[in-house]
Amino acid sequence: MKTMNDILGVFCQEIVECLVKYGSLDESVAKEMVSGSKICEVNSEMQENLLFHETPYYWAMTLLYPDNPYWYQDSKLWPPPKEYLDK
Amino acid sequence: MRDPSTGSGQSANGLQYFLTDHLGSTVATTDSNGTLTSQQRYLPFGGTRTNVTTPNSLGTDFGYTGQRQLDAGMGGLMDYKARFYSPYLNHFTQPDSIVPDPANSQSLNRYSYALNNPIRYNDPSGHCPICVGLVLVGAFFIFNGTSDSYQPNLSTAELESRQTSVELGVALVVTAYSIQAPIVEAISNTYDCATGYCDPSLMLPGSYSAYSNTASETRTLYHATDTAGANSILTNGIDVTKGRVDLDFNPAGQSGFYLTDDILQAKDWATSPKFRGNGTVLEFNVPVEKIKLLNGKIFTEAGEEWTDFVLAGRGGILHHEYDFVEGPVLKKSTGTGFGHQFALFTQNAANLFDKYIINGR
Repeated sequence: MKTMNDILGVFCQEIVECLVKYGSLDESVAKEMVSGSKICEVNSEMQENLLFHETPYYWAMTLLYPDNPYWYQDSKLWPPPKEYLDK
Repeated sequence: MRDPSTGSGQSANGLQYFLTDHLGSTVATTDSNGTLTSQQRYLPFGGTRTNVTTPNSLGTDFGYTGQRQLDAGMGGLMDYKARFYSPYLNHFTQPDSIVPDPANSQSLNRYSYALNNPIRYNDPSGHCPICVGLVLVGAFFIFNGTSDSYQPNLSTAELESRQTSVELGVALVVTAYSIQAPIVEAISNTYDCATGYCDPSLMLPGSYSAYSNTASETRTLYHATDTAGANSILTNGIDVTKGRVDLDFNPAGQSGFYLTDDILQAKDWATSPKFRGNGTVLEFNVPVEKIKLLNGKIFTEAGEEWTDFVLAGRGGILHHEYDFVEGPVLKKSTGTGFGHQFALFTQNAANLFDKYIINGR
Protein backbone atom coordinates (compact mmCIF):
# COMPACT_ATOMS: atom_id res chain seq x y z
CA MET A 1 0.00 0.00 0.00
CA LYS A 2 1.35 3.39 -0.98
CA THR A 3 2.16 5.84 1.77
CA MET A 4 1.58 9.57 1.47
CA ASN A 5 5.33 10.00 1.00
CA ASP A 6 5.22 7.59 -1.95
CA ILE A 7 2.35 9.53 -3.52
CA LEU A 8 4.11 12.82 -2.84
CA GLY A 9 7.30 11.49 -4.41
CA VAL A 10 5.48 10.44 -7.59
CA PHE A 11 3.64 13.76 -7.76
CA CYS A 12 6.83 15.79 -7.40
CA GLN A 13 8.65 13.65 -9.95
CA GLU A 14 5.83 14.50 -12.36
CA ILE A 15 6.47 18.19 -11.74
CA VAL A 16 10.10 17.58 -12.65
CA GLU A 17 9.05 15.73 -15.81
CA CYS A 18 6.77 18.62 -16.81
CA LEU A 19 9.62 21.06 -16.34
CA VAL A 20 11.81 18.90 -18.53
CA LYS A 21 9.21 18.32 -21.22
CA TYR A 22 7.45 21.67 -21.39
CA GLY A 23 10.20 23.89 -20.05
CA SER A 24 13.08 22.23 -21.86
CA LEU A 25 15.13 22.05 -18.68
CA ASP A 26 17.75 19.46 -17.81
CA GLU A 27 16.44 17.02 -15.25
CA SER A 28 19.05 18.03 -12.69
CA VAL A 29 18.06 21.69 -13.06
CA ALA A 30 14.39 20.79 -12.83
CA LYS A 31 14.95 18.76 -9.68
CA GLU A 32 16.85 21.61 -8.12
CA MET A 33 14.09 24.03 -9.04
CA VAL A 34 11.43 21.84 -7.39
CA SER A 35 13.43 21.24 -4.24
CA GLY A 36 14.35 24.92 -3.99
CA SER A 37 10.72 25.94 -4.32
CA LYS A 38 9.63 23.92 -1.28
CA ILE A 39 6.49 22.97 -3.22
CA CYS A 40 6.90 19.40 -2.07
CA GLU A 41 7.59 20.20 1.56
CA VAL A 42 4.23 19.37 3.07
CA ASN A 43 3.84 19.91 6.80
CA SER A 44 0.11 19.74 7.30
CA GLU A 45 -2.95 18.06 5.88
CA MET A 46 -4.15 21.39 4.51
CA GLN A 47 -0.86 21.96 2.69
CA GLU A 48 -1.14 18.47 1.27
CA ASN A 49 -4.71 19.15 0.15
CA LEU A 50 -3.74 22.42 -1.50
CA LEU A 51 -0.79 20.80 -3.28
CA PHE A 52 -2.96 18.03 -4.67
CA HIS A 53 -5.70 20.50 -5.60
CA GLU A 54 -3.50 21.35 -8.59
CA THR A 55 -1.84 19.23 -11.24
CA PRO A 56 1.92 18.72 -11.58
CA TYR A 57 1.69 20.68 -14.84
CA TYR A 58 0.23 23.67 -12.97
CA TRP A 59 3.06 23.66 -10.43
CA ALA A 60 5.65 23.28 -13.17
CA MET A 61 4.33 26.33 -15.00
CA THR A 62 4.22 28.28 -11.74
CA LEU A 63 7.92 27.54 -11.32
CA LEU A 64 8.74 28.31 -14.94
CA TYR A 65 7.12 31.74 -14.88
CA PRO A 66 7.94 33.18 -11.46
CA ASP A 67 7.56 36.75 -12.64
CA ASN A 68 4.18 36.26 -14.21
CA PRO A 69 1.52 35.28 -11.68
CA TYR A 70 -1.06 35.31 -14.45
CA TRP A 71 0.79 32.91 -16.75
CA TYR A 72 -2.39 30.87 -17.04
CA GLN A 73 -3.98 33.65 -19.07
CA ASP A 74 -1.58 32.77 -21.87
CA SER A 75 -3.54 30.42 -24.10
CA LYS A 76 -0.30 28.68 -25.10
CA LEU A 77 0.23 27.63 -21.47
CA TRP A 78 -3.29 26.92 -20.22
CA PRO A 79 -5.20 24.66 -20.54
CA PRO A 80 -2.42 22.07 -20.49
CA PRO A 81 -1.47 20.37 -23.77
CA LYS A 82 -3.90 17.68 -24.88
CA GLU A 83 -1.21 15.01 -24.64
CA TYR A 84 -0.82 15.90 -20.96
CA LEU A 85 -4.55 15.83 -20.29
CA ASP A 86 -4.90 12.52 -22.11
CA LYS A 87 -2.13 10.92 -20.12
CA MET B 1 -20.23 24.28 31.90
CA ARG B 2 -21.26 26.97 29.50
CA ASP B 3 -23.32 30.02 30.26
CA PRO B 4 -24.93 30.86 26.93
CA SER B 5 -25.80 34.37 28.08
CA THR B 6 -22.17 35.29 28.53
CA GLY B 7 -20.57 32.92 26.09
CA SER B 8 -18.26 31.65 28.78
CA GLY B 9 -17.77 28.57 30.90
CA GLN B 10 -15.80 27.25 33.83
CA SER B 11 -13.21 24.52 33.37
CA ALA B 12 -10.42 23.05 35.44
CA ASN B 13 -8.21 25.73 33.92
CA GLY B 14 -10.45 28.59 35.01
CA LEU B 15 -13.02 30.66 33.19
CA GLN B 16 -13.11 29.96 29.45
CA TYR B 17 -14.61 32.30 26.84
CA PHE B 18 -16.35 30.89 23.79
CA LEU B 19 -15.92 32.42 20.36
CA THR B 20 -18.50 31.41 17.80
CA ASP B 21 -19.12 31.56 14.08
CA HIS B 22 -22.25 32.74 12.30
CA LEU B 23 -24.09 29.54 13.28
CA GLY B 24 -23.23 29.88 16.94
CA SER B 25 -20.74 27.01 16.73
CA THR B 26 -17.90 27.26 19.20
CA VAL B 27 -14.80 27.71 17.04
CA ALA B 28 -12.36 28.73 19.74
CA THR B 29 -11.98 29.22 23.46
CA THR B 30 -9.77 31.64 25.31
CA ASP B 31 -8.84 32.05 28.93
CA SER B 32 -9.55 35.19 30.90
CA ASN B 33 -6.37 36.76 29.52
CA GLY B 34 -7.66 36.27 26.02
CA THR B 35 -5.09 33.60 25.21
CA LEU B 36 -6.30 31.01 22.74
CA THR B 37 -6.76 27.71 24.55
CA SER B 38 -8.50 25.57 21.95
CA GLN B 39 -10.14 25.73 18.56
CA GLN B 40 -12.26 23.63 16.24
CA ARG B 41 -13.94 23.91 12.84
CA TYR B 42 -16.93 22.02 11.57
CA LEU B 43 -18.19 20.39 8.42
CA PRO B 44 -21.55 21.70 7.16
CA PHE B 45 -23.63 19.17 9.08
CA GLY B 46 -21.57 19.34 12.27
CA GLY B 47 -18.82 16.78 11.83
CA THR B 48 -15.51 18.06 13.11
CA ARG B 49 -12.82 19.06 10.70
CA THR B 50 -9.53 17.34 11.40
CA ASN B 51 -7.21 19.78 9.69
CA VAL B 52 -7.30 22.46 12.35
CA THR B 53 -3.94 23.53 13.65
CA THR B 54 -3.17 23.29 17.34
CA PRO B 55 -4.42 23.85 19.90
CA ASN B 56 -7.27 21.88 18.43
CA SER B 57 -8.93 19.96 21.22
CA LEU B 58 -12.02 21.97 22.01
CA GLY B 59 -12.18 22.47 25.75
CA THR B 60 -15.96 22.26 25.93
CA ASP B 61 -18.72 19.91 24.91
CA PHE B 62 -20.73 22.84 23.50
CA GLY B 63 -19.56 22.72 19.91
CA TYR B 64 -21.52 22.73 16.67
CA THR B 65 -24.20 25.48 16.71
CA GLY B 66 -23.46 25.85 20.41
CA GLN B 67 -25.33 22.68 21.34
CA ARG B 68 -24.03 20.12 23.80
CA GLN B 69 -22.41 16.96 22.53
CA LEU B 70 -23.09 13.87 24.60
CA ASP B 71 -20.32 11.61 25.86
CA ALA B 72 -18.22 9.82 23.27
CA GLY B 73 -19.99 6.57 24.06
CA MET B 74 -23.22 8.06 22.73
CA GLY B 75 -21.99 7.98 19.13
CA GLY B 76 -21.49 11.70 18.84
CA LEU B 77 -25.15 12.51 19.45
CA MET B 78 -25.92 16.13 20.22
CA ASP B 79 -28.60 17.39 22.57
CA TYR B 80 -30.84 19.81 20.68
CA LYS B 81 -33.20 20.02 23.65
CA ALA B 82 -36.38 18.62 22.09
CA ARG B 83 -34.50 15.99 20.10
CA PHE B 84 -31.09 14.44 19.59
CA TYR B 85 -29.11 15.19 16.44
CA SER B 86 -26.42 13.06 14.85
CA PRO B 87 -23.79 15.04 12.93
CA TYR B 88 -22.68 11.75 11.40
CA LEU B 89 -26.10 10.80 10.05
CA ASN B 90 -26.85 14.48 9.29
CA HIS B 91 -30.33 13.88 10.72
CA PHE B 92 -32.22 14.07 13.96
CA THR B 93 -32.72 10.70 15.58
CA GLN B 94 -36.38 11.47 16.34
CA PRO B 95 -38.95 13.07 14.05
CA ASP B 96 -40.18 16.62 14.58
CA SER B 97 -43.54 16.66 16.33
CA ILE B 98 -45.01 18.88 13.62
CA VAL B 99 -44.33 19.60 9.99
CA PRO B 100 -43.05 23.18 10.30
CA ASP B 101 -44.01 24.36 6.84
CA PRO B 102 -46.16 22.01 4.77
CA ALA B 103 -45.59 24.19 1.73
CA ASN B 104 -41.85 23.58 1.90
CA SER B 105 -40.93 20.14 0.64
CA GLN B 106 -37.68 20.25 2.62
CA SER B 107 -39.67 20.18 5.85
CA LEU B 108 -41.70 17.10 4.96
CA ASN B 109 -38.92 14.82 6.13
CA ARG B 110 -39.34 15.31 9.85
CA TYR B 111 -35.90 13.83 10.60
CA SER B 112 -34.02 16.27 8.39
CA TYR B 113 -31.86 18.99 9.92
CA ALA B 114 -32.33 22.71 9.22
CA LEU B 115 -34.11 22.23 5.90
CA ASN B 116 -30.97 20.42 4.71
CA ASN B 117 -29.32 23.82 4.49
CA PRO B 118 -27.06 23.83 7.56
CA ILE B 119 -24.78 26.60 6.34
CA ARG B 120 -27.61 29.10 6.27
CA TYR B 121 -29.82 27.81 9.09
CA ASN B 122 -29.55 26.23 12.49
CA ASP B 123 -32.11 24.66 14.78
CA PRO B 124 -31.62 25.85 18.35
CA SER B 125 -34.62 24.15 19.94
CA GLY B 126 -35.15 20.98 17.95
CA HIS B 127 -38.67 22.26 17.36
CA CYS B 128 -41.10 24.79 18.78
CA PRO B 129 -42.77 23.38 21.91
CA ILE B 130 -44.98 26.42 22.47
CA CYS B 131 -46.48 25.90 19.05
CA VAL B 132 -47.67 22.44 20.00
CA GLY B 133 -49.44 23.97 22.99
CA LEU B 134 -51.06 26.61 20.84
CA VAL B 135 -52.31 23.97 18.41
CA LEU B 136 -53.84 21.98 21.27
CA VAL B 137 -55.58 25.01 22.78
CA GLY B 138 -56.76 26.07 19.34
CA ALA B 139 -58.17 22.61 18.71
CA PHE B 140 -60.04 22.81 22.02
CA PHE B 141 -61.71 26.10 21.01
CA ILE B 142 -62.63 24.73 17.60
CA PHE B 143 -64.10 21.61 19.18
CA ASN B 144 -65.95 23.71 21.75
CA GLY B 145 -67.43 25.87 19.02
CA THR B 146 -68.56 23.05 16.80
CA SER B 147 -69.72 20.36 19.21
CA ASP B 148 -73.49 19.78 19.35
CA SER B 149 -73.85 22.27 16.53
CA TYR B 150 -76.75 20.25 15.15
CA GLN B 151 -78.95 21.51 18.00
CA PRO B 152 -81.75 23.49 16.35
CA ASN B 153 -82.70 25.71 19.28
CA LEU B 154 -79.50 27.58 19.96
CA SER B 155 -79.97 31.25 20.74
CA THR B 156 -78.36 33.94 18.63
CA ALA B 157 -76.02 34.77 21.50
CA GLU B 158 -75.02 31.10 21.79
CA LEU B 159 -74.38 30.87 18.07
CA GLU B 160 -72.27 34.01 18.16
CA SER B 161 -70.34 32.66 21.14
CA ARG B 162 -69.63 29.41 19.31
CA GLN B 163 -68.61 31.25 16.18
CA THR B 164 -66.19 33.35 18.22
CA SER B 165 -64.79 30.18 19.78
CA VAL B 166 -64.19 28.61 16.36
CA GLU B 167 -62.59 31.78 15.05
CA LEU B 168 -60.34 31.98 18.09
CA GLY B 169 -59.33 28.33 17.73
CA VAL B 170 -58.52 28.75 14.05
CA ALA B 171 -56.52 31.89 14.84
CA LEU B 172 -54.48 30.03 17.47
CA VAL B 173 -53.67 27.19 15.09
CA VAL B 174 -52.72 29.60 12.33
CA THR B 175 -50.62 31.59 14.76
CA ALA B 176 -48.85 28.46 15.92
CA TYR B 177 -47.80 27.69 12.38
CA SER B 178 -46.85 31.24 11.61
CA ILE B 179 -44.73 31.92 14.68
CA GLN B 180 -43.18 28.52 15.06
CA ALA B 181 -39.57 28.72 14.05
CA PRO B 182 -37.82 25.42 14.44
CA ILE B 183 -35.30 26.62 11.89
CA VAL B 184 -33.69 29.97 12.36
CA GLU B 185 -31.46 31.72 9.96
CA ALA B 186 -27.92 31.77 11.22
CA ILE B 187 -27.07 35.35 10.67
CA SER B 188 -25.70 36.70 13.89
CA ASN B 189 -22.26 36.17 15.26
CA THR B 190 -21.49 36.46 18.89
CA TYR B 191 -18.12 38.11 18.82
CA ASP B 192 -18.37 41.00 21.16
CA CYS B 193 -15.56 43.43 20.71
CA ALA B 194 -16.86 45.48 23.61
CA THR B 195 -15.68 42.81 26.04
CA GLY B 196 -12.27 42.64 24.48
CA TYR B 197 -12.29 38.99 23.62
CA CYS B 198 -12.71 39.53 19.92
CA ASP B 199 -9.20 40.92 19.71
CA PRO B 200 -8.05 39.19 16.53
CA SER B 201 -4.61 38.46 17.87
CA LEU B 202 -6.23 36.50 20.67
CA MET B 203 -8.55 34.39 18.58
CA LEU B 204 -6.45 32.36 16.24
CA PRO B 205 -2.79 32.04 15.31
CA GLY B 206 -1.62 34.78 13.01
CA SER B 207 -3.09 38.19 12.60
CA TYR B 208 -6.49 38.80 11.19
CA SER B 209 -9.30 40.97 12.32
CA ALA B 210 -12.30 38.78 11.78
CA TYR B 211 -15.76 39.93 12.68
CA SER B 212 -15.13 43.56 13.30
CA ASN B 213 -18.83 44.24 13.35
CA THR B 214 -20.41 42.53 16.33
CA ALA B 215 -24.11 42.44 15.63
CA SER B 216 -24.19 42.53 11.86
CA GLU B 217 -25.67 39.77 9.78
CA THR B 218 -22.57 39.04 7.79
CA ARG B 219 -20.48 36.27 6.36
CA THR B 220 -16.73 36.61 6.53
CA LEU B 221 -14.85 35.24 3.54
CA TYR B 222 -11.17 35.32 2.66
CA HIS B 223 -9.30 35.50 -0.62
CA ALA B 224 -5.68 34.45 -0.88
CA THR B 225 -3.59 36.24 -3.48
CA ASP B 226 -0.23 37.94 -3.85
CA THR B 227 0.41 41.52 -2.86
CA ALA B 228 0.13 42.77 -6.42
CA GLY B 229 -3.21 41.02 -6.81
CA ALA B 230 -4.44 42.41 -3.51
CA ASN B 231 -3.45 45.93 -4.47
CA SER B 232 -5.22 45.56 -7.78
CA ILE B 233 -8.40 44.41 -6.03
CA LEU B 234 -8.23 47.18 -3.45
CA THR B 235 -7.66 49.77 -6.18
CA ASN B 236 -9.72 48.54 -9.10
CA GLY B 237 -12.09 46.03 -7.57
CA ILE B 238 -12.55 42.32 -8.18
CA ASP B 239 -12.02 41.16 -11.75
CA VAL B 240 -13.74 37.82 -12.22
CA THR B 241 -12.05 37.35 -15.59
CA LYS B 242 -8.55 37.37 -14.15
CA GLY B 243 -8.53 33.88 -12.71
CA ARG B 244 -7.86 30.56 -14.31
CA VAL B 245 -10.33 28.68 -16.47
CA ASP B 246 -11.20 25.03 -15.87
CA LEU B 247 -11.41 25.28 -12.10
CA ASP B 248 -13.84 23.47 -9.83
CA PHE B 249 -16.93 25.63 -10.22
CA ASN B 250 -16.07 27.53 -13.39
CA PRO B 251 -18.48 27.63 -16.33
CA ALA B 252 -16.76 26.56 -19.56
CA GLY B 253 -14.28 29.17 -20.76
CA GLN B 254 -14.83 31.41 -17.76
CA SER B 255 -12.82 32.11 -14.68
CA GLY B 256 -14.01 33.01 -11.22
CA PHE B 257 -12.96 34.78 -8.05
CA TYR B 258 -12.47 32.24 -5.27
CA LEU B 259 -12.85 32.83 -1.54
CA THR B 260 -13.14 30.65 1.54
CA ASP B 261 -14.69 31.01 4.99
CA ASP B 262 -11.75 29.14 6.49
CA ILE B 263 -9.02 31.57 7.51
CA LEU B 264 -6.54 28.74 8.00
CA GLN B 265 -7.13 27.45 4.49
CA ALA B 266 -6.69 30.97 3.12
CA LYS B 267 -3.49 31.47 5.06
CA ASP B 268 -2.05 28.13 3.97
CA TRP B 269 -2.91 29.01 0.40
CA ALA B 270 -1.31 32.46 0.72
CA THR B 271 1.88 30.97 2.11
CA SER B 272 2.10 28.23 -0.51
CA PRO B 273 4.92 28.40 -3.09
CA LYS B 274 2.28 29.55 -5.56
CA PHE B 275 2.74 33.10 -4.31
CA ARG B 276 6.52 32.91 -3.84
CA GLY B 277 6.52 34.52 -0.43
CA ASN B 278 4.29 37.39 -1.54
CA GLY B 279 1.03 35.85 -0.46
CA THR B 280 -1.59 37.79 1.42
CA VAL B 281 -5.22 37.37 2.45
CA LEU B 282 -8.05 39.78 1.77
CA GLU B 283 -11.06 39.72 4.06
CA PHE B 284 -14.65 40.41 3.04
CA ASN B 285 -17.48 40.89 5.49
CA VAL B 286 -20.65 40.70 3.42
CA PRO B 287 -24.22 41.08 4.70
CA VAL B 288 -26.11 37.82 4.43
CA GLU B 289 -29.17 39.64 3.14
CA LYS B 290 -27.12 40.91 0.20
CA ILE B 291 -25.73 37.47 -0.58
CA LYS B 292 -29.24 36.06 -0.54
CA LEU B 293 -30.17 38.39 -3.37
CA LEU B 294 -27.61 36.70 -5.59
CA ASN B 295 -28.33 33.61 -7.63
CA GLY B 296 -26.23 31.01 -5.86
CA LYS B 297 -25.63 27.29 -5.79
CA ILE B 298 -24.52 25.74 -2.51
CA PHE B 299 -23.08 22.26 -2.06
CA THR B 300 -23.18 21.32 1.59
CA GLU B 301 -21.13 18.17 1.07
CA ALA B 302 -18.85 16.52 -1.44
CA GLY B 303 -21.59 14.26 -2.73
CA GLU B 304 -22.36 12.85 -6.15
CA GLU B 305 -23.86 16.08 -7.48
CA TRP B 306 -20.82 18.04 -6.31
CA THR B 307 -18.47 15.50 -7.90
CA ASP B 308 -20.21 15.72 -11.28
CA PHE B 309 -20.29 19.51 -11.07
CA VAL B 310 -16.61 19.85 -10.19
CA LEU B 311 -15.38 17.34 -12.74
CA ALA B 312 -17.34 19.18 -15.42
CA GLY B 313 -15.84 22.45 -14.20
CA ARG B 314 -12.35 21.03 -14.29
CA GLY B 315 -13.01 19.54 -17.68
CA GLY B 316 -14.16 22.85 -19.13
CA ILE B 317 -17.62 21.56 -19.99
CA LEU B 318 -19.67 23.01 -17.14
CA HIS B 319 -22.52 25.39 -17.90
CA HIS B 320 -24.32 27.51 -15.34
CA GLU B 321 -25.37 31.10 -14.80
CA TYR B 322 -24.95 31.34 -11.03
CA ASP B 323 -23.61 34.50 -9.46
CA PHE B 324 -21.76 32.29 -7.01
CA VAL B 325 -21.17 28.65 -6.20
CA GLU B 326 -20.16 27.42 -2.77
CA GLY B 327 -18.94 24.03 -1.53
CA PRO B 328 -15.93 21.84 -0.82
CA VAL B 329 -12.65 22.02 -2.74
CA LEU B 330 -11.51 19.16 -4.97
CA LYS B 331 -8.44 17.21 -3.93
CA LYS B 332 -7.57 16.19 -7.44
CA SER B 333 -5.31 13.29 -6.57
CA THR B 334 -8.13 11.45 -4.83
CA GLY B 335 -11.26 13.02 -6.27
CA THR B 336 -12.45 13.83 -2.75
CA GLY B 337 -13.45 17.12 -1.21
CA PHE B 338 -11.84 19.17 1.50
CA GLY B 339 -12.17 22.61 3.01
CA HIS B 340 -14.46 25.28 1.63
CA GLN B 341 -14.62 27.57 -1.37
CA PHE B 342 -16.99 30.29 -2.46
CA ALA B 343 -16.58 31.37 -6.08
CA LEU B 344 -17.96 34.51 -7.73
CA PHE B 345 -18.71 34.45 -11.45
CA THR B 346 -20.60 37.62 -12.31
CA GLN B 347 -19.76 41.28 -12.15
CA ASN B 348 -22.92 41.72 -10.12
CA ALA B 349 -21.49 39.49 -7.39
CA ALA B 350 -18.03 41.07 -7.67
CA ASN B 351 -19.49 44.56 -7.26
CA LEU B 352 -21.24 43.45 -4.08
CA PHE B 353 -18.09 41.98 -2.56
CA ASP B 354 -16.07 45.06 -3.55
CA LYS B 355 -18.20 47.08 -1.17
CA TYR B 356 -17.33 44.88 1.79
CA ILE B 357 -13.57 44.46 1.68
CA ILE B 358 -12.35 44.88 5.23
CA ASN B 359 -8.62 44.88 4.65
CA GLY B 360 -5.65 42.97 3.35
CA ARG B 361 -3.08 41.32 5.50
